[in-house]
Amino acid sequence: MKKLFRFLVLVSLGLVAISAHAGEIPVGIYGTLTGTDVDVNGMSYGPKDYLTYVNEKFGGVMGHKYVPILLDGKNSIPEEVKVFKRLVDVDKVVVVNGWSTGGTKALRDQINILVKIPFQAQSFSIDVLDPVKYPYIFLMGPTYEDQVLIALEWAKQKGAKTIAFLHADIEYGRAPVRNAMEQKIPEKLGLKVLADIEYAGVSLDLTPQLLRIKELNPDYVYIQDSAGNTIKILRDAAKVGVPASKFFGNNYNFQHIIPGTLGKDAEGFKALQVNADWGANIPMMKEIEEFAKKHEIAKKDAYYTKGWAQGKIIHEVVSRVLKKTGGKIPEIGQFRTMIRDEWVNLENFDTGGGTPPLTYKNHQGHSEARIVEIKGGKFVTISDWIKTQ
Amino acid sequence: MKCFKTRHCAYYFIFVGIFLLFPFSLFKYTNYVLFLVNMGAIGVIGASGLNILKGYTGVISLSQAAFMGVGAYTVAILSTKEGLPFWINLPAAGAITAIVGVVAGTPSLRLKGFYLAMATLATQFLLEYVFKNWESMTRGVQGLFITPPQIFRVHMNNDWVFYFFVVPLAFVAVLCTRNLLRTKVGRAFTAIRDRDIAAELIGINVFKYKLISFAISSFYAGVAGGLWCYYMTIINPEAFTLLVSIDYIAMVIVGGMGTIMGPVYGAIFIILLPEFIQRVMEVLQPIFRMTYTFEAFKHIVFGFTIVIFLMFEPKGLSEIFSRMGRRIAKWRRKEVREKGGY
Repeated sequence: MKKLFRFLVLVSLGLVAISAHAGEIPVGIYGTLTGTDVDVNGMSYGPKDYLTYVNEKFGGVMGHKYVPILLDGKNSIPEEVKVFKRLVDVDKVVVVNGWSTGGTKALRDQINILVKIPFQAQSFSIDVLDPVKYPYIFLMGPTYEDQVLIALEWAKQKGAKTIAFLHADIEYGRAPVRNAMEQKIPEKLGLKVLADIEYAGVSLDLTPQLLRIKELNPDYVYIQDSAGNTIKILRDAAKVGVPASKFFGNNYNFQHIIPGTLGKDAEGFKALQVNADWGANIPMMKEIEEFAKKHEIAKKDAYYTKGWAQGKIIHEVVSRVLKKTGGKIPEIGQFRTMIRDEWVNLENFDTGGGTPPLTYKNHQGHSEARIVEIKGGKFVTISDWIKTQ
Repeated sequence: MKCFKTRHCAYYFIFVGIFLLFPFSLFKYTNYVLFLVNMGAIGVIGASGLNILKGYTGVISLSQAAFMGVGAYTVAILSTKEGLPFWINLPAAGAITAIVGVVAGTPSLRLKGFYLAMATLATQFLLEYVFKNWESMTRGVQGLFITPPQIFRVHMNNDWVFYFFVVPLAFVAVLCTRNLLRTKVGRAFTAIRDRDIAAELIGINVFKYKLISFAISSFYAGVAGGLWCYYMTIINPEAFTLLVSIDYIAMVIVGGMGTIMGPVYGAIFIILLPEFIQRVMEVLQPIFRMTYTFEAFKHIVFGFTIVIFLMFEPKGLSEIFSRMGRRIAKWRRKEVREKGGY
């Protein structure tokens, strides 16, 4: 018993000492690998795979190899805080590719004041986008409020007069709709909001909500939720006789699982696309296909391609720093600040077609989206890239 | 002077020494390790409260996380809206949560067993609903940010400062639990747990003491929630869900129900086991080349470990350590006898 106990202690101590060596560039990545919103965790596998691709194809950056460390945040605030501290304290990462709005908010002081480390969040929330208050936090893409504006502007152009909102009773659902209403976005566009309908995020049946939609008969219904709940909405909409063409989803609804699961009940459903889809005919996709010849790809979807593009941003800013230092890795605090400074200076950065050109002066990358619609069981583009700013 | 010569005094001095020197002994990974210790200490306080209720009074509760949420929101509201200092907010969090516990417990405690569990589950969902929808107080799903108070000009959510604050509090919580159980109230709890009908027959007001147990347990949960809020600096309705309540039940069961040290062992085990599994998986992943599916294994291993544990050691870690202690004592006595002593 004593020998077993001593052995376990030694193994545990040995396991603690896993960290990058000199000449390596550790990059921290965390996301929901298990738990809720796993359907979009391609955004975490993407940057990890891209940095691995850079190591294999180019030998890293100026002779230094990336050490991408991927951890599970479980979409839980304490868990995300824990993995952040581990990445910063134990693994000494130079950049963190984070995840949720709640976790990013909880870490705001750590990221921007205490540790000062560039942090790329997967959130699209306006609450964490503030270059002055949060100088180390970066997003990529239009905020949820931008997306509401883009969708409603398009609806107005198509002659819509009335809309309704449909969302879950969580921050991700309520906050963007509330912000859009407080900014009077529908009013400014001359659209009347017939209802703001909420449902419990874990509901399995949304028939009551869809019956209400049927009764009100708005021209369009904006869904501020992800594919999992959108599938339930469209399923129950078909049940009560509301066509899918009335519904409009945010960027998290650009998922092939929707037409794949619902078939003809999803025909006409629209969503917002903020980055390239899997399989697009673009240079970035060629890189992914080259990587896929030797490696298993976790998620073949638009979130993985988004993550791949985010990996390219990290590699670009790190490369620029090392070019300035002549290939020498600076002291870690200085390295993080230099990466952050280069990130802010990124202008019209080309991700190989993965996104519109990225400019990070306002820490957002880009604020464009285009409308896609399900036709014949597939998403097809029905608009150009629409900019909000 | 006599007390300094006793073995218990020596243990206390050793404990205080370890407590004071521990952060300085961590040359690397200090903040990360202190974070785990701090979360463990919060877990000890919450689990101690649940242990009083479940382990010593025999009352099941699936709403411990919701009561922690009440404490967390109390701290957040009092510090943001009233600007009160932490030495008022924290006890207030405990007191208000105790009142909420009494209000929730009064209709529930007429039930037993499965029905009581369902009633406390309803309390969990009810409080979650209140957190989400009482927007004038809680800001609903957006949650509340708080600026943590300063102690010697350092923010309380600094890992070092929080460690020197929360670990003694956890110690005080365990000590208070031990002392409570030596009182008339504590003996009443145990009597109710063992044979509530017999306890009623000998004159113990079962309902009254169950309610007191609920109030004390809620007080502990409220303080734990308040500490959590100061440490995380943000509170939203998604932070204290049913899954967190189940974690606390796991801490009490794995640690050893009805024992003083059970919540301590349980909290440490539940906090550290996922870390240990994570590290093992990181070593094994490149060997087995199963990066993407390995993440799911962590949960399987975690659940399997707890089930195996409960099958082969249902009395918890507390019993394992007690047994180890008895065997060591027996081995030492045998050695002394063999050497010719008595």
